[in-house]
Amino acid sequence: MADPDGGPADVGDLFDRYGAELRRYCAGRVGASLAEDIVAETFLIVYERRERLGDGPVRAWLYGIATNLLHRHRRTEVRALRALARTGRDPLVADVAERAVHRADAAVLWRRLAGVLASLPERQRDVLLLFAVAQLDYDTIARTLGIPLGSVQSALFRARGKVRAALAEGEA
Amino acid sequence: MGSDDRDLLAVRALVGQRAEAGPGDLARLRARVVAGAPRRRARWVAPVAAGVVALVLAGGIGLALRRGDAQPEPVAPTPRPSLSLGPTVDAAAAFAQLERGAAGTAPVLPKPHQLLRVREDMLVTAGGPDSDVLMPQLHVSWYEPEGMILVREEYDGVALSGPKGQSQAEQAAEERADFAAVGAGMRHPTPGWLASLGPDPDTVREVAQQQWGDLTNLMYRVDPLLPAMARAGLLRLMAAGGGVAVSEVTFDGRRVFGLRYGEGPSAAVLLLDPGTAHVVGRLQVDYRGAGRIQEQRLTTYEFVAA
Repeated sequence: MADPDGGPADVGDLFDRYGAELRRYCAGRVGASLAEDIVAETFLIVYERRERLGDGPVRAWLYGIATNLLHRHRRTEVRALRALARTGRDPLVADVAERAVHRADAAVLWRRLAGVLASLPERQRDVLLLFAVAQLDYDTIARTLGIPLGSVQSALFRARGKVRAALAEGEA
Repeated sequence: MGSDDRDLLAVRALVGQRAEAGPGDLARLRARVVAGAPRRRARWVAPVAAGVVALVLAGGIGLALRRGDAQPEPVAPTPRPSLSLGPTVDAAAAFAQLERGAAGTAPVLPKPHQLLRVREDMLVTAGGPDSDVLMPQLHVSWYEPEGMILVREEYDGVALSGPKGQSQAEQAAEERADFAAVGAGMRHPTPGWLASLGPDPDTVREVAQQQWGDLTNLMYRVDPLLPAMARAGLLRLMAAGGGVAVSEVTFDGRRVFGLRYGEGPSAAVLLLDPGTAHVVGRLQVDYRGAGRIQEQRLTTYEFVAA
């Protein structure tokens, strides 16, 4: 496995470079506890298969594997979003952070937004969160998910349209 | 399109709350990665084991088994055959053949306390459009047929737990509450509700809202429970919508139909047995060039004791 920015990396180097952002992305989808399992498994899969993966963008490999592993927990993800939309309480957020949300008087917005995220088709949710949370560019998202660039653009366009509509609804 | 637009900031803020790391969280995770900590851990094991011990001590084990808290029989992995995409065939003729096949089927009705076990032998891409690296996975789910309540789910023999370590029983209880609240329907199909669909595409259209994904997902979830007339009704509705391409897909010397909707470069494909219209599996296919299978699931259904 070659690192695009340097020579072969060991798993510790890989983690130092990408671990924090990958954990942030996974935790944003399924919560901190499950994210630890997923991130750990992702790095181990990449490392174990480093000879088979060949040269390529490591970041896309990491996010691609992590996203595949996240799909195992899509019920957890969607159930939590639905719970947030229904009750205003996010089961994946620690109480302290949740209180901060209420202080900011943003609960209504979060509920509406969570409802939109829960209703998105899996592909659109993947693309939106890889773009908005992981802040990957179109090309890297295409490589991450193994889909054409045009599919990334159209999925993102549709997903953002729904999010914007939800935000606009709150202002109406 | 910038990455700092208001909608993106809102999404980032929403999920960002979940990602806050405590002191030492990242260092602990790094140590786990570097040390090659056990790749998969089943956090349900300890609480379930403790619960079983407690039940035995209380003399309540028999009751627990009747409630379905027992662990279902393990499912062994099998070799995964490679599938190949064949040519497109005449869709009208294919649907006619499927409808004829559906007419000869009958739903398998579960006995009391039986669960529907859905087994998916999967191959999943490891990431990247040019990769031929596939990850084999075995995904097994157990459902209560009334309302299709997921009571257990495993990947590669390991049960999933909730984000805060909830047991699957706790998560199933949430689903049962949802079923009680919304009743039988697309989200919680029951054998009785499926029987009420009948052969009329308009009836099916009404409940399925004419979405291709809704139709195929319903058929995929409840395949053995579908009465012949309802299966035929679903097929008629799929055919009536237009835009469906049917391909031949072969594996292990077996030929099945792959149903794909739309002309996009990447699509989900539902695999049906041409002789019975029963679900065989599903694929995610990249249709650029010759067509490349990104994910395959070969699916079998069985009723098992709870």
